[in-house]
Amino acid sequence: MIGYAVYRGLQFGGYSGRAIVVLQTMNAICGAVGIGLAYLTYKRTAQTTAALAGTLLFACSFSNWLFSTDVAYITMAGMFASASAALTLYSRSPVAAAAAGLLTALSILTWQASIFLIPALVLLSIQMKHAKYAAIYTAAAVIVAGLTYIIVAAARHDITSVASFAGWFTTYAEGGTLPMWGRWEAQRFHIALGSALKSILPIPLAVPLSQISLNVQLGRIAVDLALVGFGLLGMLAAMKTSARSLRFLGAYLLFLPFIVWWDPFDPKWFFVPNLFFAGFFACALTPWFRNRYASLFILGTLFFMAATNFVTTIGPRHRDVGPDRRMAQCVAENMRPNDLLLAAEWGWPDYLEYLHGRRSLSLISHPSSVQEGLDEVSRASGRAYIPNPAAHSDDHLAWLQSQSGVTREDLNRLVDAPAFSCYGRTIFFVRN
Amino acid sequence: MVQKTWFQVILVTLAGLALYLPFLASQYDTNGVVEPLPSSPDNFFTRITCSTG
Repeated sequence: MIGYAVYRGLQFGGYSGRAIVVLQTMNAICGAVGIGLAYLTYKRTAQTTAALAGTLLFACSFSNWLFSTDVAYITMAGMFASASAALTLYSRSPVAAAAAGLLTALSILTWQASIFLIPALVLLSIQMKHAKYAAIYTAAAVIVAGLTYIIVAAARHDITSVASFAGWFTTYAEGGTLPMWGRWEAQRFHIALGSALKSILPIPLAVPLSQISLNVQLGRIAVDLALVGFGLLGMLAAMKTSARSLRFLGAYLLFLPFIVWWDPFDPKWFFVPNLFFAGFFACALTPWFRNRYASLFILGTLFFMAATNFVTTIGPRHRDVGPDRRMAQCVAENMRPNDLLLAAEWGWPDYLEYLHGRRSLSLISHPSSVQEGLDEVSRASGRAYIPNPAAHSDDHLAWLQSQSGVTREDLNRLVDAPAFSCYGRTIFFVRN
Repeated sequence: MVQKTWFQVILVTLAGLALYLPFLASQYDTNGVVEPLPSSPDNFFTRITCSTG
């Protein structure tokens, strides 16, 4: 909503570029303001250099840097979270506590899981002996966020009873949701821990020691070294941990059960919790900054981790449009405006409409709309296409079937003659 | 003291802008999942693709 208002405002002022550039710029500003306020939060509980170290960890963590240079609502939620954390820790009046509650409510309305900011910040308030303001903060956050949800439930979902509201509020099932979201399974805990680590460094790029050779990209070895460095920082933090730092760690852990249940696969959801994770490091590493060599090691490691994220991910994503955009452009050049692409994957098909004005229909989220889509294409004298199903891995096809019920046989039944080829992938006509 | 802290906050915010604004992504990949290319000494960097999950 905010992005739409800004975009329309800029258009009114003569801007004619794409919305995505406006949204990315907004995220860069939100990300920068967020880390400024994160520094203010850490400064309240840690020595200046340690606060800077925590801020560096937070600002240059994989998820934070990635989503502060791209489009995702999580960055704005993170900015509101940082603002409410700073204001909560500096609260010296009921008005400030209420304002902190309002900022938490804004974070919740941007990203629902920010509801765990409330117990997290109450935990930190107790640390600061600001318990008397914690109640005001909590009440403000609950009332503003709660009232907004009640209004939305009544206006948009026709929910009028307490029971139906409770059912709507506590269920993650909006009709079209995928089975992988909103469920409990033991292995999801391990997946979430992996995603937590991926939110700090690009772990999928790490190379096992046994596979290191002269042919391995240096960027991948940098990820290995950064991981070792991060592990050593964790050990240093554990050696000097205190009740104050453990409260930050507790605040971080409060988010974990929800992420495990909701979506443990995406490092993005650790954006807001990492505010507290970095706070843990800022507090726990404070005693080490009395030693010059330890200080050099900590700051050197953090800069190395930041450089690793930059050379492996942030730099390439900025300079190169990437394989997905190239693939989308090639496919779009072979399609006409009335044509339709059936996509059994996420990624490049999603660029077709926004960047090239060519339609695609996702077999993942809309498998039941295929016939309707094909009929519409036929009426418009268009053609329908589908990428070669044989190009999908067995793992992907198993995942596709588990999420949407679409099988390899279903895809093969849609395939007709080859239409064209892009970057080694054959695109087929869809059988009429 | 308060003024000094706010000055530091502004400096950190400006540093954040310098980290983010010049490096806006061209890939428009909101999932941001990374995967390595096959090993090659010519590719220091690695490509980025969307996740399937």
